[in-house]
Amino acid sequence: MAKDENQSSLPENMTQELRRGVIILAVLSQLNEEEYGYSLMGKLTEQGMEIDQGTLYPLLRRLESKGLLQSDWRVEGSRPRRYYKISPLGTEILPLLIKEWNRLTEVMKGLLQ
Amino acid sequence: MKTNKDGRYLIESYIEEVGTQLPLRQRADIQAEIRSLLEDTLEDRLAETGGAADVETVAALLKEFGSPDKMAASYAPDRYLVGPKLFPLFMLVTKIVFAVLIVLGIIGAGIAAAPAETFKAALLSVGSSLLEMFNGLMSTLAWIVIVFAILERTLPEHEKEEEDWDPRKLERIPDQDKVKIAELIAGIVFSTIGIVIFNFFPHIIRGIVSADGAIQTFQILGENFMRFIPWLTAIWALEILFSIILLWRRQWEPATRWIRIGLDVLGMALTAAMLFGGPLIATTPEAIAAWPSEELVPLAQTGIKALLGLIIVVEGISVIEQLVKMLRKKGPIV
Repeated sequence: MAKDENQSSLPENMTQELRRGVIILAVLSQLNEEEYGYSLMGKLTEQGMEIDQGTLYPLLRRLESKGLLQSDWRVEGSRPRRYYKISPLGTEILPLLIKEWNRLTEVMKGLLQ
Repeated sequence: MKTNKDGRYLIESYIEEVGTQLPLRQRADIQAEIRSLLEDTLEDRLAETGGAADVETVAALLKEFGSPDKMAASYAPDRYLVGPKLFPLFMLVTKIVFAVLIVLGIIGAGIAAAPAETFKAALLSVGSSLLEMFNGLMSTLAWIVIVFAILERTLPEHEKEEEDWDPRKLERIPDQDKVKIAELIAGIVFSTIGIVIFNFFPHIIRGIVSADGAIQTFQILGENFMRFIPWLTAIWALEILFSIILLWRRQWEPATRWIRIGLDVLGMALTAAMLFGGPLIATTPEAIAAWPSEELVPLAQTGIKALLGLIIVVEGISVIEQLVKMLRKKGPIV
């Protein structure tokens, strides 16, 4: 029974693993301008990269702790919001990640043909 | 946009519940972030549907976000009692400490069981000692975990330099099937010496005492022990024969491994018979009178029986270990 459950959730888990690395690149690429979490989530969803809040917010914090993002709280309207933006280090690293992504997609195309 | 009272209650309760599972240092910040996200999402949702922020709507929203446990877990870093960096050292320390405690426990069990007059009493004594040893092992393990958990949280981060690692320093894996010639030859020599001494010169196994400046000897082993000499001889002869076969084959094979286990079991059976077969020390009045002190006789008796008990326990563990490894098709440690 438990084995069946594991097997049924396997494709989902593997898809999530596959997306995990890609999401970092997606997030960094969209933060040249300041965004707060919810607006960023909407921006990504609009472009087909759906990401749930349980993944996005912890990821933003992790990227900030690594120095790739910077953030500050700002009160806008009736509530405070945290705005994220790519940091100078993130700006430096992003082109390298994009280059590697392009190389990988080429490799994968070849492998999957 | 204002949520109604009930909706606010659910959001705040949710945030509070998540907060209880977050590290104190980051709690307020993460809670503020979750609150901001929830309110943004709710606002967006209400704008789309035109509904009110009542309990049902907020509850549905929170349901989408997942349980407080799940939400908190997504923010929490990987938490270990003993992390991957310290785990190998933790295992090494645990193995060493356990090995020492188990050896001491077995010796203690043997000593405690030695004075027992019956097999049942000896078994109860060994059982009690093993239970104590188990309790000791568990509390020791708890202390080791506590110490390493403290180290995990206090030691500074230190990445081991990959450059320092030299693959040429990796040790060659020993061939488990190759026989150890030196050990076999030593076994043959000692078994031969045992056969010769116990069969042809048993009288030389005597205690030595200095009395009035003169060296005197006295009989140690009694008639009861002598009854076992043919059996001991048979086992030693089988050991010699087996060692010769191994020297000829040069490799351990399934058949020889099973024979090894069989010989160990035979040895254990004989040792058990000696352990429960009455006094092994000479108990005639003349023999006892020759001892430096009569009080030494029961001590020697206990000492010999403790030694026999220890041999049985150690051999028993060895046999079990070999059987387990054989069943796992890995081959026994020999």
